[in-house]
Amino acid sequence: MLNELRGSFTANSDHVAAKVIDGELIIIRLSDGTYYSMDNAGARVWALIAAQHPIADVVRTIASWYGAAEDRVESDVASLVRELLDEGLIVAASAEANGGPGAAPADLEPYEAPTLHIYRDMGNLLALDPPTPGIDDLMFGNA
Amino acid sequence: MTADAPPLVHALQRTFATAACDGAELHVAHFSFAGRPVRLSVLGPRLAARTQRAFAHLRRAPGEAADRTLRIELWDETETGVTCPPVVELDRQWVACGGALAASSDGRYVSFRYQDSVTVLDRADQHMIGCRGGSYLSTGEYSKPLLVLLSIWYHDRGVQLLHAGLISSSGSGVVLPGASGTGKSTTSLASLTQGLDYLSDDFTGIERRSDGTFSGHSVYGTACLARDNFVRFPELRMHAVDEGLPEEDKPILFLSEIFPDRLRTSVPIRAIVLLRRGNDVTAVQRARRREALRAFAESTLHTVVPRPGREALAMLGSLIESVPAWWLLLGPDLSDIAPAIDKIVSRSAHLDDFRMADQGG
Repeated sequence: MLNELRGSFTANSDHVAAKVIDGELIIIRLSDGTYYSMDNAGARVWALIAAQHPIADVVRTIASWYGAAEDRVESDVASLVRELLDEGLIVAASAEANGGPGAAPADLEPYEAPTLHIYRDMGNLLALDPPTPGIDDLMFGNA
Repeated sequence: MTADAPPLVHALQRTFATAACDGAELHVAHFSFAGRPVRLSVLGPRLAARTQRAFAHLRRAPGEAADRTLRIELWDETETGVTCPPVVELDRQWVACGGALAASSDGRYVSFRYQDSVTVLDRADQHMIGCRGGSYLSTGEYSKPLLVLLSIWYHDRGVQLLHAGLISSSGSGVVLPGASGTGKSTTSLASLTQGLDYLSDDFTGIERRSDGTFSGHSVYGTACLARDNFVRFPELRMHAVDEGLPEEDKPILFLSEIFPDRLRTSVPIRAIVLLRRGNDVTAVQRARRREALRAFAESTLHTVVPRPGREALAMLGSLIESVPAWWLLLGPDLSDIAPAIDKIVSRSAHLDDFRMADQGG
């Protein structure tokens, strides 16, 4: 089994903020403002990973929900997990989720391989050092 | 400010006091920023007039409790003859907005230095102090004074600045997210010229209330319109303030001077409107909440400094989940915009459960 499919992961919550609305996922990497989007299956995969479900369960769940071939989903999820790790958006989880992933959502669209769209700001493109600051770089407890 | 404040803070405070004691002309004005009291004290009549102008619609009578007031103190080097002190940077530094942003290691003090000017915000004491060197104010500083530091002050008060327009129809606020070029300024100004109320064309303060609803706050009473866009607003051309460098191609409109009765300070937000140009005729259709999330992400996450963080994303998510979203498909006739906004506000008010409607949209 590919390493990306072993064990479970979770959102790198100290460095990432994420929001899912109606199957659209937006993630902000707080260190430099890079933001990411995924929809449909990608957003569902993220939600399952963030809930610390083992990757093998994520694969089976997505394949079941979408009626897609499990080997195809396994390959797609492995690629996505690799990319999420490379971008620092997920980390290995210390524990696994309690309970199952639940019933399939009602409004699923046909299965397509999850695609992580990446939007890097002009600060990164211009190789500013350091990048444009985030408000989280300026945290002040008594404000 | 305390005795252990950074050297830059002490230097600015001493120099401001020196300029005041030397008899420089002091101008004091009181404002309300998102409902919070602000006292602006400026040494130098020209700087005072130019700083107050963008906030004119937010003026209030004095009398608020001093400990809850944001105190802003500025002096003009040229007008007072008192030189800005040498800048000793704070501990951490970044390049931002064509200038330099710096912060103390504990985040309490944040400074912004731009050209010959420097300003510092003490976030604990709600005190901002700075000096303006040279006689030139960029279009950005004239139309949106103190934007970077005010965005931090607003954030500390639970008000998130978004790159979005905000207009109001019959007291109901409509927020217009969108990247540059999507039509926010045109839509906001067209709405204003056609009788709706105006709060912003590009920077808007969003605040979540205790009952879970959202208020939108006006930050500046200005709009900047590209010179070639005045052909669409010929009645505004005579009011354009065009004192910037040639490469600053957007003259300023001080809207409270043109439409004194149509600038509002705050409104409840009732709808989100996404803009799309190029339609044959102006039309309205429901938008999916996911489209609203994408529009806010594209327009705000990269364009507000400091960059919004997890609180902003959470607030945006809650806002999107609480009010309906619409597409305003812009046609060529600007006179169709205000009626379309009115239609959106009316339809939003009559949606019993916009979430159910959204899934069919």
